[in-house]
Amino acid sequence: MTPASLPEKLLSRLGYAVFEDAGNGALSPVGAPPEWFARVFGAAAEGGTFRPAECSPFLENFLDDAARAWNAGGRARAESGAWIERGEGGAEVALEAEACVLDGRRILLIANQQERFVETSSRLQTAREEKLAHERLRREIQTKEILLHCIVHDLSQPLTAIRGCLSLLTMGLPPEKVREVADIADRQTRKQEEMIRDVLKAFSSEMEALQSAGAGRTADLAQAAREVVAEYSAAFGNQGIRLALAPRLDAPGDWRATAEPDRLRRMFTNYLENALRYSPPGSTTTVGVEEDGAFLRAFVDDQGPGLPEGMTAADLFRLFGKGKESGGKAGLGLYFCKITAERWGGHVGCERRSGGGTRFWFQLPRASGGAQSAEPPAAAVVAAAATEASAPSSDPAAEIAGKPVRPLRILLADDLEINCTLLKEMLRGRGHTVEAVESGQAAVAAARQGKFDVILMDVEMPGMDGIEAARTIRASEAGQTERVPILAVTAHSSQEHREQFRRAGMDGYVHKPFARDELFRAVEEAAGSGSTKAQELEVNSGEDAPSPAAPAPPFTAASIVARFGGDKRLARQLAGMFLKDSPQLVRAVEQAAKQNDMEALAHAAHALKSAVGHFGALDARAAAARLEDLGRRGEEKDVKHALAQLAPAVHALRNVLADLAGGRKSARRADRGKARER
Amino acid sequence: MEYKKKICMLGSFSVGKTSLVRRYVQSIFDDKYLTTVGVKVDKKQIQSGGDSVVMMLWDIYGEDDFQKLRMSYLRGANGYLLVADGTRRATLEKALEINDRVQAGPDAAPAVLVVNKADLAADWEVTPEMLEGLRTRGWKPLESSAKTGQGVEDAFRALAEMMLRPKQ
Repeated sequence: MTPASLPEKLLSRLGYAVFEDAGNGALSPVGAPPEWFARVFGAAAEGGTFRPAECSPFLENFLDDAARAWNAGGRARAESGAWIERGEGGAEVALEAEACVLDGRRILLIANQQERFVETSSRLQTAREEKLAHERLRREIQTKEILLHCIVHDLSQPLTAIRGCLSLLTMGLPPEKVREVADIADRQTRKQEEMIRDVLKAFSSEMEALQSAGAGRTADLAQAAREVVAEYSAAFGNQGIRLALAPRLDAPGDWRATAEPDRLRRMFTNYLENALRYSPPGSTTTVGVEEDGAFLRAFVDDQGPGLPEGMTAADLFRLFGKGKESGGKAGLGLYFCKITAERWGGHVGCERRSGGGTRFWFQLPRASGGAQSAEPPAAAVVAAAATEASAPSSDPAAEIAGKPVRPLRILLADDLEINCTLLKEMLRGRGHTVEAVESGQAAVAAARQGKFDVILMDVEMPGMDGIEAARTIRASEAGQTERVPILAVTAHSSQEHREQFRRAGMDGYVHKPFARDELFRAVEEAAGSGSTKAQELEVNSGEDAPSPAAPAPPFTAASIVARFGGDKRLARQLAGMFLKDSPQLVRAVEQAAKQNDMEALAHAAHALKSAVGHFGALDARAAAARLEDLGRRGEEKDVKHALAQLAPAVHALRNVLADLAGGRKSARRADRGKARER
Repeated sequence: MEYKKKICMLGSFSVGKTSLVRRYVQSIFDDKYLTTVGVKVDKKQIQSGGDSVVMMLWDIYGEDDFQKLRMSYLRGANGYLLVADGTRRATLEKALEINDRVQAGPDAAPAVLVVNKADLAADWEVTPEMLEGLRTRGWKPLESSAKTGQGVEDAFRALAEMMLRPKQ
């Protein structure tokens, strides 16, 4: 041990262990090491020489840094930073070492910094916890902002149609057209009303969806582009702007990227609404997708005035950012695009185009081979294939543009009489010829014998169901040049179902319950009769039964007549049929429940749901949908409770329908009949 | 044969480096987050393909604005366990960024990428597509949970294999 000078003794007293380099990885103590040193390093600290390699990998590593400082000499120093040693009894001690040269001696100081370490740890702990809390909060805020945007976006859409209707009403239309325009406006207001009611439900589902939006999902960018172009061509046309698809989109290719289809379409529509706002009449807006290495890049090119001087992409895509003070809605649209793309591992941007105008783009990672496609297939949405940018307008004016060019021959397959009657009456009233059958087998036979322009196929029928029937019809068409369009008539419109329809060879679907004009549009569009061009085949975007928690709007005889386009005769006819059939429909549900036959329960509840859905009886539909769901999942536990909700809801509907059909006597008669049957 | 291998745990703060080491060495887990300041070295002896390996595990503080990684700590490292937190996408980017720095330096060595907190899968920001993207770049990311122990042994074992039997 080298004798200690006064300063060295002082350092030892202050808790520093002082060593001098003894070469070959050994350190010679200068003076007596402080007490803590032996507690930490034990036997290695005893004796004349301390060898870090024997007891401290960290210190051994640091000796290389120390040697560099010693060799450099002068004022060179090396600091180890804090490290932890576990000493006597497993107690952890924070140490720091420093190497320097003093009076030509190669010195190493080791300090016990436990107290300072605790203080530093506490500060860092607080800072990092706050940073984590901030990150969590940022994510929550972001999620809520997206949710807000979704609500604003969806609630704004019907306003465009309503405005169009109001505009038409000022044009001096003939009385019958006024009625139709008013109907359209009414439908849009109801759609908006439904959306508002769904906000509560959407709140939870959107939050859930956003948490996992894009996770494991892919969507077809080209298809989304085609759909939004079809949807927006009318709005652009009204302002004299041409909306076009980039030519390459028609080429075959894999345009799937990490995305969730609904939000992907929102991104496109946000860009399109932006372009619509700033594009001058006579200009063209082009929507396209292009490959970009490991990404796909979607873009919307406009021929507007371009980005304002001094404005950057960051300005536009920030929260509440707007291109111009007068434009836009909440300033959330582009921000939504930004955070959504980033959540999916992509980016957004915009740039001035060399020929004038602006390009807004977003870039998303290409889908990997094994990812599951979440996008509805192209065939599931007729508009995707049939509508082009130059398609005739599908605004309200075009929607009511009169009777179809030619009457259609329609084959209708549905086992439920009320559905058959409703569809037949509506379609015949439109001038079409309808041949109705009650089963899948009958539909296949009729399709072989007759020549039809379109087939409307109920999906759930006893025996051969609609899927199987469609598949059989398609098989029988093999080798033929013509194929008849088949539309599923269904209350199921999930992506899984749509994929199932597509695989069966169906061309689209009509969502039950449906409204008259929308049914016409879907059928005529599918048959290509050309009187109207549907933007979307999905005639009712509402999902299954509304949330039981959502307050159901009151429904009256008048509101039911309005649902059938003011056709009181048809409304009465259907009401009478329901009053006659509903006891049997309800009984089928109850019996299936009683026998715990969950498959039969699902089927019976589905039929009842379909029937009550025509009248807008939301409570009854929700209860039937719940029972159908329980039946499909085989959950017997809650069936009793759901049945208890069904009975009063159906009873309430029957009362209203009895008024409509000619007094409550009919209901009472039907009830008495029901009691006798029991 | 007997080997002694230096393994450095690298990654952003609060990704679970210390918890992974504690789970691996002591089979314990504590839900409470305690930030690591400085460096702590633990060791564990394992058998790998007939060889005995002493794994010297350098648990190095997570890098952030407050603490930057000292490259001198990596001197002589034989392998790296890059740790990311599946619930924070940025930590995956940070782990890859650290790896770029490490592999460009004099102490380049095999690395295993671990995405931790698999027990919080519902909250993950790291998507399957991101992991798939990493695979196309030659990574074999492993998912782990220091809380449940899922994937922890596998991660260290994979690294031991890479260190002892590097593929040409």
